[in-house]
Amino acid sequence: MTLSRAEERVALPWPLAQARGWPLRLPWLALFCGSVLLAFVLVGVLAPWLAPHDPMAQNLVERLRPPVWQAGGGREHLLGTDGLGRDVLSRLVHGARISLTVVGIAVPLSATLGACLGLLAGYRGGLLAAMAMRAADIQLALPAVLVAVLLAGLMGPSLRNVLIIIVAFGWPSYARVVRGEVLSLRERDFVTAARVLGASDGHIMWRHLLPNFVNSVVVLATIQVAAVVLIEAALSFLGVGVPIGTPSWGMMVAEGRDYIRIAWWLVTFPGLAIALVCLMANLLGDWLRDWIDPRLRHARR
Amino acid sequence: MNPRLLTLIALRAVQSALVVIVVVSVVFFLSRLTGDPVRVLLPPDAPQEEIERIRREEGLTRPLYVQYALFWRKALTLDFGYSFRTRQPAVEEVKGRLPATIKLGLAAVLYSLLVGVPLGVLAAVKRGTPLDLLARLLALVGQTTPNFWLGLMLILLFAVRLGWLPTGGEGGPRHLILPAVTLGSFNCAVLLRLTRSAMLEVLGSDFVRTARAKGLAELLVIGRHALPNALIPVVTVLGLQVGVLVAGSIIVETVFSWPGMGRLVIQAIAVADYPVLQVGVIFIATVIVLANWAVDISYLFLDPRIRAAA
Repeated sequence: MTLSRAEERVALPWPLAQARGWPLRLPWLALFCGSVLLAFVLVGVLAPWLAPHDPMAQNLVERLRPPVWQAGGGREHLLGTDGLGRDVLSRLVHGARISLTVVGIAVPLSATLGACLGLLAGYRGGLLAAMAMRAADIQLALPAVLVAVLLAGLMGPSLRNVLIIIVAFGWPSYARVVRGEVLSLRERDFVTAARVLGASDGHIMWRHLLPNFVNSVVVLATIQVAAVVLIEAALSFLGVGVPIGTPSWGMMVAEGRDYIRIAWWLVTFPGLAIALVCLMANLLGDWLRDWIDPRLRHARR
Repeated sequence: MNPRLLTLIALRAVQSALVVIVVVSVVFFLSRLTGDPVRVLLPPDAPQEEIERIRREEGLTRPLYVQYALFWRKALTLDFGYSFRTRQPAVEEVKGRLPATIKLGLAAVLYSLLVGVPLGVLAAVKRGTPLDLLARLLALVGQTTPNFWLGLMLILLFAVRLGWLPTGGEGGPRHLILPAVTLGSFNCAVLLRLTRSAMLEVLGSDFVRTARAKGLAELLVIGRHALPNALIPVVTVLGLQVGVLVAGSIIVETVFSWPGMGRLVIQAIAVADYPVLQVGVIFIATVIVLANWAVDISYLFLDPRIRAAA
């Protein structure tokens, strides 16, 4: 039992404790990415109070105003207005809320589902393991976009469909990683020791295995944030994601596409927002992975 | 040929067939679960007696498992009904769009190979220089930029601002450049990163040191000794990217109004052309499954280690 505690401590170090030679060794890049992502979360949560205008309010007199720094732009609409005279900045802020909603629901759901199934499949094996692995194969063979297209075509676009698709295609990655880790963990001495001491399967899985693979799940979830934001945007862009008119970043790009010759700002800003969040989540995920597993620091160049 | 190898190929074929069966089944059950299936077989403005006739003819009054069997019998003869829009067989509609999609896909692969691999080699050879940094930055951006947005930014720059290239549609080679670059950018980034790390590994190995010690010209060392060894993982990944490429083509074809299968499927949704949607999805999934199968088999022949493990 004490052995497993020691394992847990080794597996879960604290970032600042590692950064010897503070502040030079502080992970500036990770802190920066984390701050940007935190800002994204805050904007999403506080959207109704931050947005200067109602994101749905149309004003045909004010339509297609350029951003404030261009001729014809005004203080009233800092990032301009779209073809229906809606404020781009306000829609962008509310778009963060939609992306955040999708990430906040889909990522924990698929991580929990995938981790539980992977844990059971790795610890018990048998039919469940086989089923989980076949599901993962099918996920590899079928792009999520294709299934989303089918689902939206038959049921109409909705946020619920987007969530179903993302979770259905997200959990196998977690299951695969967790199963792999559990397969090797369960052979370790501390698990045998716990079993000899009479610990139940549930106790072993919860107290001894979970703390040892939770790091990998966190790393994967961070990287998946980027994937989820991207896929919601792509589906909405194709018209098979959120319903038309919703201020989602992908939808905004799709709507701006018709005005690309006369209003560059309509496609540029929402796309920048998507790219920024994805880039930050990717960088943070990469850094987390290297930091949690120092062996990878040298393997990955 | 080795009988165990044959068994392995057959096993993979069975697995692939299973995936296709799952896809066709998903298409069937989704179309039955999401409302009146006659809606899926007839245009929305069909008269009531026509609906009743079809309902009887198609066996929609019979139990679900009989319907499922019937669906399969038709699917095996490639009979998925007629497009609502053009009244042509849905299968023909999809087939007609195949060449455009293949052309775009090949151009994208070509672009990612011609740019990704040389840049990866250069970055590895000039490790730590500004060139290396630039290449890695390019890879990072290529992997994180959403392709539909990249496409639109390229249109904005090269078509709207500079007027060098057309904004979309199919035509001469000039029409192919922007869509191919957009579709290939993710692959290009992956190949760049992979080639760079594989080259770094190979350049540090003993046989490269031996080649250098023999006094071979640096170009020969890199081109003859290092590169061929570094390319093995590249070939692997190239095969794995078929799914990414096909999924991407749905998006890129929409951005550039490219008349391929992906755009057809998206258009089919817009006009509720369910037969075409069904065939399109089944067709695209089958292409991906077949490609993955072919890649799996090619490993068996390319890599003696996998063959030995079999």
